[in-house]
Amino acid sequence: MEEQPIRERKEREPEGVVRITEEIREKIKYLSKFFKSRFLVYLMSSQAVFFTGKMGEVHARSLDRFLNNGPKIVEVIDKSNEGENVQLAGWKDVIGVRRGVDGRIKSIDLLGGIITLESANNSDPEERLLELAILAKKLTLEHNDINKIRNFFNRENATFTINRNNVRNLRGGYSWYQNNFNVIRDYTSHLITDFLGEAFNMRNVGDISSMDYRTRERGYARSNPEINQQTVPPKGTIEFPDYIVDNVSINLIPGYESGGSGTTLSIPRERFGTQGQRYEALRYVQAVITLDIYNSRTNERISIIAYGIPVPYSYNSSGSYSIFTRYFGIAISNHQNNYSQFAGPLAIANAIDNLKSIFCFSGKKELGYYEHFDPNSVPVTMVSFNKDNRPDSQT
Amino acid sequence: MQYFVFTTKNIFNKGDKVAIICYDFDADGNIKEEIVEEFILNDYEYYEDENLLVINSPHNYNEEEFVKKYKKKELLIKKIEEDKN
Repeated sequence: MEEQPIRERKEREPEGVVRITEEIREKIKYLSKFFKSRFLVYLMSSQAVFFTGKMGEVHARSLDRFLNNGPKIVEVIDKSNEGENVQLAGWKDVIGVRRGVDGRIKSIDLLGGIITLESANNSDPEERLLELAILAKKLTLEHNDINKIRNFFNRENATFTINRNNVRNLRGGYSWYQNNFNVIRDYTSHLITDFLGEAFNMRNVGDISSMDYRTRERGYARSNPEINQQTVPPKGTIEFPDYIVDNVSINLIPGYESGGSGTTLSIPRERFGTQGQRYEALRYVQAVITLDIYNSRTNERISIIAYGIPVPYSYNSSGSYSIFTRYFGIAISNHQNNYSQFAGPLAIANAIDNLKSIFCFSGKKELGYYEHFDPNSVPVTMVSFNKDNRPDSQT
Repeated sequence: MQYFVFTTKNIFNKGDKVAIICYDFDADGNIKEEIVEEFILNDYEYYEDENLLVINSPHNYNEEEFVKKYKKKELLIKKIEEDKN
């Protein structure tokens, strides 16, 4: 019997591999110049961790080992061996937003890399946080095409809807986040509604699922001869929204910093989940919010991404940040005393703040009022059933 | 109840009669309003630097019922009568 030729298998690309394009390399080089001296490991994925601070050889090796033995999602593009402080001075990565063939964001595999952070030399934690805040905003503005966003919302008196059923978290791994996810989801949806409404004067036409239901209901009514057709609104009565906000994902990735000579990078992933088990405390959390917006008229789509770092209340001026932090009962004094406890909400609030800056930056006007609303009314962003959230009781 | 409002300008004054309104859309796509509660505004704070208005209402709702009823709907706070004094 003649031997069948073995069909050559097409080698599949490993899941989650991030392609480093020339454009990204250039971006990395540019950013690397901005940050000097010590390192900040700025790394995110489903399994990777976020680690910051001075990184010596031990840390660098651990990171390297982690990356090589862990999820194969990182491509090392520059690995220098010129001494401990520059061992991993090159960037590891950068953008890991995976998209499907239709361009939709499917998951976030990896973001960031190793950034040398000037203020890591400085022992002042506030200064470090400020630099982190700048970094989060900078990344947010760089990873979004502001011109494209501005041109995308070019309709006058446009309408939109948020598909709230699709607001979700990709990965949690942090109990506060899981327990409060419904609130976070509602809050994020409300804020996106506010930003779009105010920056582009768009009108929210309600929930898409109820719109679908009404459309179907009327369809049945039209085809039912027993129903008086005069009572059924004609086709197209309900205006289908011009824009649909979909696939909103809110991700919170916890990171821990070791108190001793070891590094969290070398401990098993599952140990990260519980605060203060073996290592000092939750040190940094990073939040990433992504969303897609479709133009239903032209079938075009844009994706928006915003980063957040747990920075102090006072670094963020917008109401969105204030609402969130006050809602969860976070005050500056509390924050300073117990950073670990509030890092999660602060990171999400910061991401929301940066999300706002995208819309404001690309908007036609400053955030003000919805023109289509009654000037005697304003939308409520959040509701609290707990009077302890009163601002006076915070400080 | 406590309402958090993100606004760049405070349009309310102490003594104003306000209503919390839930709005939805009817089958024709028109706005349908339902009053959640009405009260005289006495207890509120506006933080100008933060664009934050925190309004405390004298009523308190059961959280479960409130969420069940108004989930996925938008709320507005509306001035329905100015303080005449």
